[in-house]
Amino acid sequence: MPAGPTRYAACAMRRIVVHCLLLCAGALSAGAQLELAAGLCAEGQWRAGRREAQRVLTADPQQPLARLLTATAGLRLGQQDPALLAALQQLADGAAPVEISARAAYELGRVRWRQGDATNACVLLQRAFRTTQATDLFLRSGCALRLLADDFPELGERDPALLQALQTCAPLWTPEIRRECRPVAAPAKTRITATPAAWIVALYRRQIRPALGSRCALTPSCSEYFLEAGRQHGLLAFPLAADRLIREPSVVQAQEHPVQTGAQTRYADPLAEHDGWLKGAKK
Amino acid sequence: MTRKLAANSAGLRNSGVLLLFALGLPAWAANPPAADLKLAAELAEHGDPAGAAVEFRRLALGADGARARAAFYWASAFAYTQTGQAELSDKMLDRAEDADPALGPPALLLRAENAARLAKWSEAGFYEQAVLDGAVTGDARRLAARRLAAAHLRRHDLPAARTALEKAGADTPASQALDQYARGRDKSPRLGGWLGVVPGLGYFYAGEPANGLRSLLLNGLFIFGLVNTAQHDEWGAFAVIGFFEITWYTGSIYGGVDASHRYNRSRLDACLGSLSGSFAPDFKQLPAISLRYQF
Repeated sequence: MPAGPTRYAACAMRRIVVHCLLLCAGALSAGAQLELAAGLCAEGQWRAGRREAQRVLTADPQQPLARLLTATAGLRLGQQDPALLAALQQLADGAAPVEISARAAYELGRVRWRQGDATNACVLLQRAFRTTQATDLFLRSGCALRLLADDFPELGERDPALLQALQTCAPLWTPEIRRECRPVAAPAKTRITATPAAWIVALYRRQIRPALGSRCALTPSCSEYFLEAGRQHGLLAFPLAADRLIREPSVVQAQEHPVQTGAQTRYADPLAEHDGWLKGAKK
Repeated sequence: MTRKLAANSAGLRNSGVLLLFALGLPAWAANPPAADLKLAAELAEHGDPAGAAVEFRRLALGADGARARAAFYWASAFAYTQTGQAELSDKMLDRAEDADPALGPPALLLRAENAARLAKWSEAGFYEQAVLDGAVTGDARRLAARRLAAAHLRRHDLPAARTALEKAGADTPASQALDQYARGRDKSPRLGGWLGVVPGLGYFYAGEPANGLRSLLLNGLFIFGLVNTAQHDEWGAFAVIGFFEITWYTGSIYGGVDASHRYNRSRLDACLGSLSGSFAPDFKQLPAISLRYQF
């Protein structure tokens, strides 16, 4: 669970839930239910959070926080259901308390950005930036706007005053906020020294394995182990793989940690059990 | 770790019950919504700790009494520990202790377990020491002493481990395991690596003769191939065989180091297995926290 988004969500949700609890005064069980839903979403437990929010919605289908949580959780779980987006749009258009609207605008703005609809994304993110009273949402919507303007420079040219305001806020954006605000994560850099391992595995998988079949009795398979070692340790993947091949019969004979994969029983031998000391030495 | 401890345990010897909240609960706490509690308990006992954790949180949010709230947050923390989410478990424990600062040993034991899951041995030791410094007796004390000894042992502090065990009185199996560990000797990974320069010798040194033999044969075969191809001026084949031989050879050196580490780890694990112990609540007793201990 990534710490950054969680911490951010925790702050934002806590603030929003206080607003909502005030709205829900007199309905303690719904308030507690919402607190639970908001807490679960804040911890990144989107599935459980959505379930709890939906429980609230069965009693009160218009509950704004529950609708926001359900939609946000749905998005985080990878859904792009038009109904979710419509709910967010409705909340963002003002059918909710100000903070909830701002949060909905932010979430929807990120979706539009991901979809390549820069103009609408800019409008929504600006709305979140200008209306929120919450510091964390203010920082994130500002940072998202700045990144959006970097991707689509014509947007920045339309409103120099906004760009100036964003420039003023820029020192407050931590690397964590910057990373989080970009809706599409930058691809992880691959070590240059991991490339030979990747070539060898690709050659083996395309040309040799189809003839031999999947013969490795361990999990992860030796080729996967080699690739992972390459990603983590570069050229050290070669001695690691040689060590693995030499040990394989002993690991199978010991029959420790069996793992059932389909009809075949394999034996767990993860890389972490053989490079822990190496990582310790690097630290 | 808990699974390993449980696997090594000799069975349920004792089911000491620690009732901490039996008295003084408000009316709601004495009668929490029975269906909700039953659901949470059944989820916890039938392999869905993540679901149980949420149900216990729901019960905690609905609880009127501070002690009942603390107990349900504690149960939620326990369930999160079962799912491996130690940080979330600690968060629930924070809430439990906010509700009832006198929660005591159940919270400390769980915090220690969470710290151990995150390999924070000093922190785990701190919480176990806090349990021992309190007024707990019987199995709770024995468990804390064993786990404190295990935390010291993880940090290679054998005298401190012995002292920790003595705090719970006579615990012969655990003391014998420590004695046996003290009698043995760790293998030096550095020496294992140097011996690996002679193909297979590092594995032999770490007590893995089959691996050593395989390494020796493979290296021997490829070195023979190298010599043979060089003698016949077959430099293309020499290059291919050389590439593989470098891999086997460096593998032998790496294997010498790794096998030594593996030997040390298995020796430590064997000793830690004898220091095992676990605890689990009787969920049906909630909001009273009632712990069963297993050694």
